[in-house]
Amino acid sequence: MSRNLYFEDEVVKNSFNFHMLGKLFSYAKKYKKTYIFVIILLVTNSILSLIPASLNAKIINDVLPFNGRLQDNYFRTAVIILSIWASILCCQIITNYFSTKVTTRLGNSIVYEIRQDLFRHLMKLGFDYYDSRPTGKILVRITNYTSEIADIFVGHLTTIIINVLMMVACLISICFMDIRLAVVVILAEIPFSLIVWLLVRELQKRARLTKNKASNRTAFVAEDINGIEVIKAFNREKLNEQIHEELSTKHFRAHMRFTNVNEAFYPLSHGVIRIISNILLYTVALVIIIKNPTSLTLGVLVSVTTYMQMFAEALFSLCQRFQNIATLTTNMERIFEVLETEPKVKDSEDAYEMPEIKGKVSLRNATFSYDGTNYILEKVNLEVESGETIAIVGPTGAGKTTIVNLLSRFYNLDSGEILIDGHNINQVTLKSLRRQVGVMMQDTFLFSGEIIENIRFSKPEATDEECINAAKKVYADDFIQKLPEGYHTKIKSAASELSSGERQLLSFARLVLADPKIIILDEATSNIDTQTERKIQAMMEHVLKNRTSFIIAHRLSTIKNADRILYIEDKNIAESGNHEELMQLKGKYYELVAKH
Amino acid sequence: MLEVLKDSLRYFKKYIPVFFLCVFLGLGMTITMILEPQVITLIVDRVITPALGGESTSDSSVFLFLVKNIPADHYWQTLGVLIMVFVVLILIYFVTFYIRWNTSHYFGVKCENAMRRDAVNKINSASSTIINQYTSGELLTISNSDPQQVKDIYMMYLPFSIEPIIYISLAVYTVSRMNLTLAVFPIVTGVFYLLVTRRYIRETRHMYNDIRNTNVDLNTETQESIYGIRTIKAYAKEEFQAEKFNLRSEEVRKALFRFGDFRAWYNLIYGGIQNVLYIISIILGITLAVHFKMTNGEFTSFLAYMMSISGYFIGFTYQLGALQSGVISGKRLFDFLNMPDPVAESYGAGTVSKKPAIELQGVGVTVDGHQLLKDVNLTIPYGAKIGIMGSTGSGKSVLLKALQTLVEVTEGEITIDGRQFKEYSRSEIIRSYSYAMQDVFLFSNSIEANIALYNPDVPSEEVVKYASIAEVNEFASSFPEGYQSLIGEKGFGLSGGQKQRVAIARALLKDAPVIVLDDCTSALDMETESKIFKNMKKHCKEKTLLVATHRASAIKDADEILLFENGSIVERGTHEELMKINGRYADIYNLQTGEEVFVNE
Repeated sequence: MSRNLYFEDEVVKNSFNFHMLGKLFSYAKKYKKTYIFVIILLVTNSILSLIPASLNAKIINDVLPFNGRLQDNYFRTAVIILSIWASILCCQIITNYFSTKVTTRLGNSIVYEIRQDLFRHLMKLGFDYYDSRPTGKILVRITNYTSEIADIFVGHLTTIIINVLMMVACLISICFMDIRLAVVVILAEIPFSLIVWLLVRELQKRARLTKNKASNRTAFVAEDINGIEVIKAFNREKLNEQIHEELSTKHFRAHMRFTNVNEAFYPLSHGVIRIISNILLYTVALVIIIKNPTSLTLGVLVSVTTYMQMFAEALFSLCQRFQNIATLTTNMERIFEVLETEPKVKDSEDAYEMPEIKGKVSLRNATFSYDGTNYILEKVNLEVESGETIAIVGPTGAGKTTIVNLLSRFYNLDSGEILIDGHNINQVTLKSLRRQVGVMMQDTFLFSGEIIENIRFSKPEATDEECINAAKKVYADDFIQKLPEGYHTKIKSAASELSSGERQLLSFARLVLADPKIIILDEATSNIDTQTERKIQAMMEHVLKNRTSFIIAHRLSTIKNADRILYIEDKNIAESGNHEELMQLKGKYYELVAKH
Repeated sequence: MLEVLKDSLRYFKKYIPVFFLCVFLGLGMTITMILEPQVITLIVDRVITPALGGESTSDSSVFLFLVKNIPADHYWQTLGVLIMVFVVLILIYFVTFYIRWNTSHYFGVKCENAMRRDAVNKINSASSTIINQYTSGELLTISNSDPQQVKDIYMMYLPFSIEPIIYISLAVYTVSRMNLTLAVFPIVTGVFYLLVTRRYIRETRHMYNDIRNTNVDLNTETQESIYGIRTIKAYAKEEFQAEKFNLRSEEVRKALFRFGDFRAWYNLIYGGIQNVLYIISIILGITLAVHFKMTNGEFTSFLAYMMSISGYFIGFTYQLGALQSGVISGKRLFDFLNMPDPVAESYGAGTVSKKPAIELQGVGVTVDGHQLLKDVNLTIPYGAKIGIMGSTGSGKSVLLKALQTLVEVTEGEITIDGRQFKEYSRSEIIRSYSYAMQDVFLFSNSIEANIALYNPDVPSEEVVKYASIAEVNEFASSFPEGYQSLIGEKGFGLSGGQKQRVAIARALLKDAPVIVLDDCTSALDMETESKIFKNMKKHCKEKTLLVATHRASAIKDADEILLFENGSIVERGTHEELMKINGRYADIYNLQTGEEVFVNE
């Protein structure tokens, strides 16, 4: 299986394309009306902001003295102009208020939805996805990368639209005022746009590298935190410090390379825009004035320059948006990589809910490999009646845990089928399957929260009483009562306050609460001491009595009591039968037992 | 806020000259921004207006001296000079901007990385009393995001707060050159803003705190979901988990909503103030102009200055607000870094001998009022083989951890070679133990790298040697990629027994004088287990061996067997002695022999 480790950059399968941007924007689609409202507000704002320029021109032309002489009626004109100006400013701050408030809410809502989808999809992906890369790298997709994208929805999207509208509006205004100046400006912006485009592409590449290095480091630190006990026990502090330092340095270098381009972008575009909108403009204006003095007045020129400033600002703002979005393309790549990964194990299109089963299990020609070439099981056939207890034994890597994984459909068979009560497990919904097939794995995972909630995890609608009863059945009640707050004691997922055995008991309680029809126990009591296990055994016998169960076990007593024992070797069931039968066979099973 | 600045200063001390350089360069940038309109004024007043037939006026532009002596109708010459000045200003802006930001990033990120380094080191070296106070999400945030926020104080918020002050002063000066009385105006503006700002800053801080907290919780929830994916799928709880996640995500969203609304509101307030002042300044300007105290060109630039002064005041307050996120992060980061670790500090600096003799007298461990270990008296000479049994939670692991300083002894004392425990260096004590724990945590790396965790530079043959003792070789060498096979975090890809064997090999490679095996053969069958013990007898027979287990057969040959119950030793002795007593140990032993553990795994 290919695995990405913390010190390797993840390779991106699909690099950024506008298709991704389109998909991202589709999250905004359902808020179309709100966005339109906001755009109307912003457009209103922009239109309003165009007016002061003309008002300014009017003040200069009609209010301020010209050639040393006061103008007629300047006072009245001033009052009118100022009233209009004040109302415009008022409208502007109100529209700003609403547009800011609404877009921030909108942006954060969309991020929330993307996160929701991302997480939900992540939960559907198989173990192969989780095992193929460090936790930290998956984490950053959900936490950091999504929140950084918020900017697109809070600001960029609307700003881009507004900027473009603004630029068009200003240009049109300028055209109306003096078309010659407009043409010159447009022509000058073209080479400028080309430079911006090239810079943005470079920026994108460097941003990706920087983010990769950052996620490498995050992955390392996340693993460090989770494995802290082992790190301490093996005196790894200094070594890990070194590795962390190396990762930090790599990130630092990538970041500086990125900065070199990123920080050139702003002043470059700023400078070029200002030269075009000021120097070029005035130069052309001068040419016009000299050739044709009456065709251009100072008032018009001043208005044009003001509109030009606004055009320039909109253009500059647009460049910055592109700059920002370029750095976010990596985020999009990673997010969509998750969303576009198809889970290998999923409900088929016409999946139906598996009805309550009795527990008859059949394997027909079941063939399976993890990677398509090294087969673990080949053409296995097995019929288990409901209520049978099956013990599974065999050498390392023979496929015992694999059978467990297949029965719960954690993996799909390569060929063949598995039926429960005649239902092909590929055709029922995963939820209905796993509700009725309970697995207790070797790995005990507890969530941070109260102990009782950890037990209730398998059946959220269970009452407190039911949870406590389940705990009592597995003899977990004793140690839980001794804890500071009993069942309401809060544990952390590392749960270092509890011993291994105690955690296993909690895991057991969970299973008992879920009460599934088919039970699979994989080394379920390995960490529990003999005496407690004895007590549990009686309970287990009772629990397993009318249930189909598969047990991968050590203890001879458990195996002896099984209805049937399967000896797995060489990709298939080598021997099958109860203890007496297999002993008489004097085959592999016999050899194993006889050794002791 | 001041505390955070004080704490962060030790990192950013070196950065201070750069900081001032940045401010200085920022000054350069703002000067060019101020001077640009001056060039434009001149172009309007001395090129365009005369070309249109008006009189060239204006004597307040800084660059006047450059064009004063050019005859009024040499437009191109004047324009030429002014264009050059403009371009020079743009170039200065580019250079100052670029240098300012590049050096700022360079030193800023270096300081940030220094903080990260210290955070990670503290996590690795702090005693468990401190680490247990934090969730994994919190620790990750402290070591990953908080340094970044603190760096931004120095890279962005502080400089951005200082620059406006400088700009405003310069702008006031420029405006006063036009007309002295006008200079009062910006100052009045400032007062208005500051009145509103105090409250703004305080509330911003609360908002950032909420945002950070909700993000930390989201972090923790996400990590747990990823680690627990097998359990989640086994119980078909994907939907349920997604709901739990959504609750956290919702909290983040709500916090951001509150913040967004808050800022929109203050935008309104500041905008209102700004606009009122702007209108007033227009009125002022007109008044002065019609009394011939201001030229048309000056009118335009006066308005431009007033607008930007207002803008800079608002910018200043927003910077102070944004700075609060750095303050919040800094507080968490430095509270963690500065947290005293009396446990870690109570140790000395001694190294442990290669053949330590350990003695426990009345040793007890109480955690949170809960007594986990009571009155343990034990002598462990070098080379002793001690077996430890007991029911779940009886204190076996606690004892083994206490010997290694991984858990603090609260009663009694431990001596090594006759010297007090605390005279030794903590890491040296740990170094003298090879520890295989109950729960195996493996790192996402190759099998070889995992086994060689203690010493990654060890030659491959060494790795294979210890792997063979721990019966790892028999399965590792059969994998397609052998020892280079990659295993994920928590060892997914290996069976339980395989993981335990890797953990044992890992411990053995450390080659410490005391080997501690804490119930780490639970997933192994008796045959493999006894093979491992046999191998160990051959290769490390002179070392001290402490084995905690549920299987009496594993420790039958121990020099001393201890049976724990509720934290105390209830029976002890050799196997024969304990069988003679016919107590609990004998019960267990008898129970287990008739039903030995059997092939597996």
